[in-house]
Amino acid sequence: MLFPKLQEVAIDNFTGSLDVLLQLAKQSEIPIEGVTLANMTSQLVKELLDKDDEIDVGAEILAQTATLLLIKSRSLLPVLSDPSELLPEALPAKELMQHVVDYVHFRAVGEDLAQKEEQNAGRYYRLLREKQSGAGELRVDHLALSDLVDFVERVLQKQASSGPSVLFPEIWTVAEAQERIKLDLATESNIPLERYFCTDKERAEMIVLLLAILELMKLQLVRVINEALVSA
Amino acid sequence: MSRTKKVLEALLFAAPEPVSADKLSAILSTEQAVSVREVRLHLAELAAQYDEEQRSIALEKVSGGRWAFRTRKEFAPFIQQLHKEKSPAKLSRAASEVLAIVAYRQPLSRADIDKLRGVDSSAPLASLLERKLVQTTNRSRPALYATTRQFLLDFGIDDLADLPFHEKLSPALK
Repeated sequence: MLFPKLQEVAIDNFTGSLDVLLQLAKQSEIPIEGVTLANMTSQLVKELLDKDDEIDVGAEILAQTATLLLIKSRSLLPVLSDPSELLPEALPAKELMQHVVDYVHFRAVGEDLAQKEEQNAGRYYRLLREKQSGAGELRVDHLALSDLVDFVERVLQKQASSGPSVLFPEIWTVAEAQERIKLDLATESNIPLERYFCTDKERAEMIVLLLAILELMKLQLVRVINEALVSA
Repeated sequence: MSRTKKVLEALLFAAPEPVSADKLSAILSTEQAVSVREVRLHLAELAAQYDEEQRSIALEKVSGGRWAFRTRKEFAPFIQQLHKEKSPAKLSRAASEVLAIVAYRQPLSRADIDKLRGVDSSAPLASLLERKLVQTTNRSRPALYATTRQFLLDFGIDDLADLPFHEKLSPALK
């Protein structure tokens, strides 16, 4: 297939490779699969150079370029003679098209939601404001910073002596860990801290959980108590 | 104004959250039988009355077919001063996209969202969690995300089926 030379496009609010792909196809009025990898990568490299002081964005752009290389290289593979051997992943153009169609739908819905948000912003319900019990308290009664440090050191030592660890592909974010703790607290009012720091957990997960607990304490959504001191 | 409408007005004023016509009908029927259909008619009339009188509050059907009073937008700056809160930041385009994906595909993991958007979605997802528009639905790994009731309330959506393109999406997308 001959690919037309596409001109460079300016993209406001760059949000990913699919954006670039859509813009290139739309501006040049060609099918999505007709967009060349060269155009795509040069566009992404331009974005990369423009954002040379933003490491995260730069890393994303590199990852996206790698993804596009994978998609395009798949499209260059010969088509199998026996259609029964065709697997969904062996149909890159179809896969790419479906991906783009999905993305276009979600982007359109996102725009609609943004409009709804605009329409509904600043409209208050006649609802009783949720009062958080103990609001205003520091919630560190019977707990010194050294208690927390001792606790963390203990669990990390226990974890280190529990043998080799396994790396998981997905790592909890602090926000996710906070949600997880809040879910737990919705069903149980008192949870032993050790439950979040047992030896089957990865060190990274434990650190994320600790940060989540500290954040929840700061937001006054949880209270951590040293029971030994309370009962003393 | 009829007694039924007055009772409805009182109930909705005192309610800590939006109330369904079914529940209002059940409460009203402790005094005199009022069907759900009749309740809906009364509520619609009451809402029209508030509109006609250009009151600062409006009676509206909100999420899940439930009813609640809401202030009109023009009074927002005053209410924000009362609550000592800033006007919430508008959702970014990325956050809107992530919210749309979660609304249609829930429950789903962050990896699923990243795959659909072709880009890392941690930051927009964190902002949605912070605003309580999405929540995790499980305690295991990977975390699965779904929209909250707050999402329906904040966006004035009665039901997820009301979202645009819902009828056009393939079953796999719903």
